[in-house]
Order: sequence, then structure tokens, then C-alpha cells
Amino acid sequence: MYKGGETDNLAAYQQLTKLNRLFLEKYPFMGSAIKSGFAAFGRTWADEFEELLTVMFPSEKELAAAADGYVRFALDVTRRQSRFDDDGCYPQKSFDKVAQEVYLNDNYMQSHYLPGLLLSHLLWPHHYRQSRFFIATFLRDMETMGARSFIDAGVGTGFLSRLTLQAIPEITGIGFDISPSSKKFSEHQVASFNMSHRYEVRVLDLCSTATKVESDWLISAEVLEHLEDPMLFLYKLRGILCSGGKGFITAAINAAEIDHIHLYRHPGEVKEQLQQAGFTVEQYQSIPAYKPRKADAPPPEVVAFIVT
Amino acid sequence: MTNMENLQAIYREVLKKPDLQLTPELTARDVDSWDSLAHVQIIVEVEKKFGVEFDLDDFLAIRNVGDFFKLLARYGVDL
Repeated sequence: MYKGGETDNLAAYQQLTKLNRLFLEKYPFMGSAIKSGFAAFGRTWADEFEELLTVMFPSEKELAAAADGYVRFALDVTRRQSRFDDDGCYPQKSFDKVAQEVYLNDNYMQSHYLPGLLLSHLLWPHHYRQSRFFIATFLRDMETMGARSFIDAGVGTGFLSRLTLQAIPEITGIGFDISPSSKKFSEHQVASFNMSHRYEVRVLDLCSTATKVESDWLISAEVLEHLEDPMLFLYKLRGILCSGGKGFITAAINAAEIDHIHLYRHPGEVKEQLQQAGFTVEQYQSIPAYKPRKADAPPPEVVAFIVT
Repeated sequence: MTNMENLQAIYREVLKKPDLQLTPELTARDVDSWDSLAHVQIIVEVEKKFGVEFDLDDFLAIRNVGDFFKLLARYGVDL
């Protein structure tokens, strides 16, 4: 186990060192991000991060663009959260408006939403802890029970799909997303890790199509809060998950992001909806992003459920 | 309070440094509590106090307090 005091070993990680330098030179307020991550999570974190950066952003130019995208993404999220602290609600937006502004806006998606979100899986402690929970519980079960295929409903960056494909060498996966940019980015990530023959993403709105797909293993990470009617989507997910199958479903709580529509104020609200849709909750983990800054301003949280 | 005193009060409050003196050269590297959360909090508090709203590109370009002085001047806030 990591005991601290190893941050000097950052020099052993070439791409992480470059990212750290980029932050320090260009965005001094991001200067502690890499060393904090190393101090909190140690070599496992550094190894995973270095691998991701090396594979996805190998050149100086790609790394600089990803760093810039992440900083824009993170500052935008933080600014919206500050407003949420005062207002206590998300700005009212329709799904169609958000889709035009974000998911179907390829320039925005490729320049900062997707690289920002991808790097947040390593740079935001609550996101990283959630991926560790995914690996320690859901992926472990998939391996133990000999999973052969999975569905990822709402792939985003393709991060969890990629972890699944890496962990289980024979498994195949199908992802769904309404965003052509997400398809491109996720398939690029999987291809960069030499696993494209086992994975494809279909651009599809699962809620508005009669497509009949099912799987024993279902992933749907941080989709619910993006929807006007999460229940409709949850019923769809329930229909996708075969009897006896297992799902990993997550949601963001009190997290004011550009594309968050449905405000969950407590993990219990998600749990109730899952049960209403017909899922049985086996296990869950809720992780706040940070300690509350003000007594009446709850911090953002991510909650993950293992369901059957 | 003058605009400069108001600005200094915001930095001191957000960074939890009651004796902080603003200088144009001051950067996040000089203050341990000045991380990305604090950076945005400063900007949001300044927006509220001075009734301005910055573009994301504007506050991405802030490298030190001097840059912020210049940005405020562009938005009509004299220090």
C-alpha cells in the first residue's frame, strides 16, 4: 500500500510530468492537481494515468490540447457549481437544447467536453474512487462469472467500456450514445488500446427507438441526470438487462454541469427510481467531491449502484 | 471600501489568508490554498461584487493578479 512521500517519483512518469509542467506553466491554479492525485492514490493511480496519457495523447500537441480541454471543462463545471451553491437548482433546459449545445456540437465535444471528462476520471478524486469501486466490485464479478459480452448505455468517453475490455480479454461490448462525437472518441480510445475488434458504438437514443437489445451485463454511468425523464430510461435499461443479469448504474447528485437537467438532491432518490423500474439494489457507494464549502450548499456527489 | 480593497478582501476570504497583500506578480504558485476551486470562487465573487460576467476565455488567460487587474479594467472596473 502507498505510504506517502513518493511524489518525487513523479519524474519516473514521462507524460504525467509533462502534464504537470503544462498545468504549472499555463494554469498555475491547477499546479497541485497531479501531485495531490499522486499523494492520495499512489503508484496505481500514476500507472493508470500514465498509460492513458501515453496511449491517448502521445504527442506534445495532443497532450497540450487535452490539458487545455480539461482546464476549460473543469473551470466551467466549477463556475456552474458556484452558481448552484447560491441558486440551489439547475438552470432550466430541455434535452433537445442541451443536445444541440453539447452532444451534437462536435467542436465543443472534441475540444473540451470529452478530453475534460476523460481526464476527470483520474484528476477528480470522487471520479477516480468510483472507477476503483467499479473495478473492485462489478468488473470482479464479471471476471468471476465468466462474462462474455456487455452493453454500455451512454458511453460518454468510453472510459468504463475500455476498462472492461482491458480487464477481460475475450469479452465483447456494444456501446450506445446519442452523440456521434462520443462514438468517435470512445471507439478511438478502444482502438488506441488495440481492442477495436471487440467493441462498437451505435449512435442511438435508446428511449426513442424500439431497438431490442439485451445483455447479462449492463453499464450505464452518469446518464440519468442528463435526461428530462430518467424513469423512461430506467425502464428501458430494465428491459435490456436479462433476468439474472447484473448492472452498474451511476448518477451525479447536486452537480451543476452544462448538460445536467434532472436534479437529484440525494442518492436515495436514485435508489427509489431504480427500485421503481424493477431493479434490486445489491450494493451502492456514494462519494462526495469535496467537503461542503458552505453549510447550506451540498457538494457534488457521484453514486454508483450494483443492481440485478 | 475602494475597488482595490474589495478585491483584496475577496482574495483574503476565499484563500483564507487574512494578511494577504495583492501584488501584480502574485500567482497561485505563491499561495498553497489557491487551487482551481479557489480560483473560480474568486472569479465568481468578483463577478457578483462588481456586476460583471467574464467569458471563460478571459479567466483562462489569468496567470497572475496583474492579469486580473487588466481584465477588470477591460470590463470597466477601475482599481
